[in-house]
Amino acid sequence: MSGQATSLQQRLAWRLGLLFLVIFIAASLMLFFRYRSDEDELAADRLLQFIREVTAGLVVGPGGHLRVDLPPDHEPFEFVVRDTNGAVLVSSSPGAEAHTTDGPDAPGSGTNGQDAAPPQQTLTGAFARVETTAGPVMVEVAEAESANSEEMRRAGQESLEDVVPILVPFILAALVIGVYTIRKSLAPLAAVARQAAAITPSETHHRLTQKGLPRELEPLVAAVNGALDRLDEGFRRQREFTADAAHELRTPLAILGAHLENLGDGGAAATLREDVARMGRLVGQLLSVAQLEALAVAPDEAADLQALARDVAESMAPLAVQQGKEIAVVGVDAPIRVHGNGESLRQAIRNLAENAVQHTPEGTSVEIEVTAEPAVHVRDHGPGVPAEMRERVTQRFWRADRSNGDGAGLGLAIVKRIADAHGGRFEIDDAPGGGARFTLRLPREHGSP
Amino acid sequence: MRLLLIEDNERLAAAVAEHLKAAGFAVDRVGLAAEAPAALAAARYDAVVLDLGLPDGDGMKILESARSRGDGTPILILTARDGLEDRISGLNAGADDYLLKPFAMGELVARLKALLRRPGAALGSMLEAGNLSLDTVNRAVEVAGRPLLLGRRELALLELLLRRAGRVVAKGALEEGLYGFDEPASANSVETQMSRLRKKLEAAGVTVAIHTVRGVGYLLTERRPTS
Repeated sequence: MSGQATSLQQRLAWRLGLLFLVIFIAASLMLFFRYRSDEDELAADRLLQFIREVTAGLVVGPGGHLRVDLPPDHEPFEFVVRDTNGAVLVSSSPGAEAHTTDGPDAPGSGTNGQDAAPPQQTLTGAFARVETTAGPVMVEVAEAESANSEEMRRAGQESLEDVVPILVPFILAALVIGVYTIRKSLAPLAAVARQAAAITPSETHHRLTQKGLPRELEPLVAAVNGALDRLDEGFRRQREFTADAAHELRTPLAILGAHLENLGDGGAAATLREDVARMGRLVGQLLSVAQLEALAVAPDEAADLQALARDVAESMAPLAVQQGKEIAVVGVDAPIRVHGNGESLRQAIRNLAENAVQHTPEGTSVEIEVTAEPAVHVRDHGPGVPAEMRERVTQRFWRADRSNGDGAGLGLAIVKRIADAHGGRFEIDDAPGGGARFTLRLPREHGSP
Repeated sequence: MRLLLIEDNERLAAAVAEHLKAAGFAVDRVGLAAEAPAALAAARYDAVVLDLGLPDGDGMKILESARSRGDGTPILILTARDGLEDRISGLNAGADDYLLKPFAMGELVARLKALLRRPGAALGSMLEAGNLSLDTVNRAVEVAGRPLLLGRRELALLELLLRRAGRVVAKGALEEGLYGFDEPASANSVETQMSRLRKKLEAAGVTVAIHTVRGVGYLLTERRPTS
């Protein structure tokens, strides 16, 4: 990612908007100019009409004086009638000659060039030579002053009136279609993002789905899936290495243990035997961690917590008895079905029981209680786990008292991992009456009430 | 008691053999899967300790071929693999027990003795723990050489516990063991019988103890010398 994130929708909307604005302006201008040229023709016709009207209205009064009688409802226009020398004989208004500019100098004006007055540049107009009873005169006409800007305004308005009803709905429709298409095409991306978000180091086998995605996005998704394949392979090798290393350590440890046992019960040998047993447990836990990284609970897997608890108590009892402690399964004596992987749940309960047997003082007991919640509670009568340490004891290799470690550093971390893999919870609190209580809460078996 | 130890690691095999000899077993060793059939054919062994990871083949094959020949010799598997599937396939193929490396020698000896105590196995007729012995053929119990009189149901319970000495016997299994006795259910209950059995054993001065594992079953162990 570089720079500011941009929205495809926004960009498309902006650019389409800009494009349509340009089209809109261009179309408006085009229509405007076309109307303008039409207007020019009309204006020429009008000027001719004016000339005809003035000509028709020319009356030679007594004394050769000219006057112009116009119809009362004539369109507003300016006119000037001159004699052949350019002198104004009659005009529509005192300043009218200012409007009828090109008259004397324009081609075909028929002037004899004796007019000393300089031509005045004002409005477009037209002129004609008219024969009257008093001799030839020049009739010059021009649009009224307001007519020219009126014409412009009309041309602009008419072009807008023609363009807006067509273009505006079209632009809006195109924008809506563009944005809708993008939104619709990118909707599957949200699903892909959810899939990607669910990928964790323990679930590297998931791949992003390409179904329903626009073809343009397929290379990206395919590339991400390719990267996941390689990561998956890396993780798998890592797990295999851990598992292989743990396996390989077992035989040398067995040899070491066997030699130590043959040494008899001397003080040093007994201590070393405990050390070897500790290393053996740690190796087993390393192997468990490697296997758990790949643990995925199948949707139809189910286990009976009660049976697992009994199994664990059965296997732990000889060790507990040997240490002068007891282990018991209390609570309901009926199957408690949960959705989960039996072997890993057995391991979780076993780790909890091992931990509890280790911490409960001689002469006390460890109780495994299975409740209908469904949950397993394992309590001991030891010192308990201080509240501020509860989070930390579930972290790998962490131990409450490192100086008195027994290699169970991974035990509770493994329980946490198993709880997470099942969508369950692992909690540590104080047991009523003292000691620690570890609780593993699990989801019910699918389909059970 | 004669054992065949099939283990390719020379140092481990030597150490294990030494310990088993000290525990009173006669031990023959082979290090290759190829040598195993000849060894098994040459002598009658009371039990086999088999390593699954052999350099020239899978120990599982030895197990399968022995079972397919109808050889019922108890076989205990040693392995560094501890996947559930390995365990299940080992037991399905006819292994009698399964021990994960690294293991304590005491555990190996205890498991072997438990295998040999099974009905039909070498120690089938005589069960011993501490100063207690039970003759399963003559239905007689002795404590430190002196006869101890027990009821039939008490004796049945004691036999079940002794056959799995050092390990928990589920209450359900004990109930099944008592099922055939024509007694009222209350008098027949495992708790009642166990309590009587304990009293009689205590009175006779046995060096074993029967522990209750609440909610699970019972466990017979030799008393620790110190306690």
